[in-house]
Amino acid sequence: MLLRPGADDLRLIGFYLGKVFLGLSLVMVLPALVALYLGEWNSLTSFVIGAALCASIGAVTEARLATRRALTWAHGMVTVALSWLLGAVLAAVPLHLSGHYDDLLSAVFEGMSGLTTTGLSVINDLDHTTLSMDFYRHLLHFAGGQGIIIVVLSLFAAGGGSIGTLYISEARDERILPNFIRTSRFIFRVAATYAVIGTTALYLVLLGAGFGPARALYHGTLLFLGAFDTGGFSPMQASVAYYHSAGVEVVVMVLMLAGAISFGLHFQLWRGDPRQVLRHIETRTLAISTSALFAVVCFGLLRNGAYDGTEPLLRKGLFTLVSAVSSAGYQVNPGTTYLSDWGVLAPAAIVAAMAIGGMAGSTAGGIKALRVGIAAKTLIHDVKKLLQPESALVVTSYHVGKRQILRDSTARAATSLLLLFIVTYLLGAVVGLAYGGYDITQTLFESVSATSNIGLSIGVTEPSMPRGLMAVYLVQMWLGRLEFVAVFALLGYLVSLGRGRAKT
Amino acid sequence: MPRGADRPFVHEAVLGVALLLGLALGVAVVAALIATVLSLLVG
Repeated sequence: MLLRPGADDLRLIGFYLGKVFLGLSLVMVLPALVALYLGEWNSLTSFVIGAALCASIGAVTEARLATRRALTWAHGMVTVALSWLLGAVLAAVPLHLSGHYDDLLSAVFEGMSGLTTTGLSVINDLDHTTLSMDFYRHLLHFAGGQGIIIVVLSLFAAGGGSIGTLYISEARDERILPNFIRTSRFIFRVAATYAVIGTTALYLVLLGAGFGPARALYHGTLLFLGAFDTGGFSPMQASVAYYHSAGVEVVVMVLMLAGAISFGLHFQLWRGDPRQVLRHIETRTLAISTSALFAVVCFGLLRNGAYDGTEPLLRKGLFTLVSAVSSAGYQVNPGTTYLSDWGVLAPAAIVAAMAIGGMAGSTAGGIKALRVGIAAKTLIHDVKKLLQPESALVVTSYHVGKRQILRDSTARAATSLLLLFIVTYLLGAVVGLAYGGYDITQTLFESVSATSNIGLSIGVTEPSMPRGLMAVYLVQMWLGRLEFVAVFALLGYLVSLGRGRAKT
Repeated sequence: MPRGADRPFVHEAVLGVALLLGLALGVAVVAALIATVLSLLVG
């Protein structure tokens, strides 16, 4: 029987939610300054209204709900689930006021897509949005992307040994540094270094591609935010295809790759221990699965006569695959070409890549290489056990920075999350089919893209899409980003509010 | 420098970025190999 949360539990959750909204108001202040500098008065008003709303909610909670009680694991989970949901609604305020969205739902969809680093977009006339509004969309990627890592790591720092098996399963308990402050500082320094190097590299290649200095800096900054946070919003409707530049594609590809690498591995990389990186179960899983899927993509494209020669295979096929695996979702061809030119095999491989996603503990989405790797190890373990005499002891291990023995609880948790993801992919695809007008390739592609927070689109997600389907994708993005657990915790909490046993 | 000792940040950053670029180069080389072989076989 669950305990019914008391008034002070709700107070605690409200208090921390208020802090999140205060943070969100800061996210709106930055583009407001840009709007002020550029004289984009309408956008400035939108940001001021949005920021004022967030800040006043934050101030009220600060004044009325202040408490010194510490967060427990359950409180943390509920706060995280609620902050991503309500955060998307509040983040949608300036978007809605911009007038580029058909209705409020579209604006909330865009807000959720931004915060969950998905990158699916339902904006009208993207190429003519104000610069500050576009900057704000990309900044949502950064806030949500770095945010989820900080949240995950801080929960581990706080949770210690009492964390639920579902999360431990992911072996996410590899805390990078012993304390939370140092960990976040490390993350911030890594992100800042990549920001400087990545933006400079993009700036240079964009200059080379014929952009003026100011425009190159603007596009470079936005592309960096979209790529490194594995988001996928882009300043132009045509995504990366707009630039027609191999240089831009290469730099964006490296940045997407960097974004899909977990911060644990970044730490090993920075400390100059490449052997650990190569032995890591996630690196191996991704290396094997991506190479195999790339072969399938190439075969499918060649078979279908979509492209010939090595260069288009690399520029279209590899880019799209890396975009899918890293869960960034930048496109180098219009979404409809997956349907019209790519045949069936290549899009299927892209769907598989999107389903697997990047590494746990990065901003990437999807099932995560770690769980896929552990599920594969489990399978091998079971087969080995089958072939050995009954009395034999079979021990399987894997590397996550250190050698770890594969335990039953780990295996079970990894496979159950894998199952949850697959069920969600399929459910979303079925809902899409129910609307008629789409075939299974389209609905499965889009459903996987939404749940895994990828952002590649085959053309289903557009401003005039059915509103019910839009709402389903919105929930899928939320579920996928929080990996179900936090959402389940929230649901359990709501149930216990109504039916739980009162505390004595 | 003893193992585990704190390196200066710039040193770490350069090392990290270099290793990442190496990793990316590795991905590109493997991909180019796969693409070339397949386009020879199928195309």
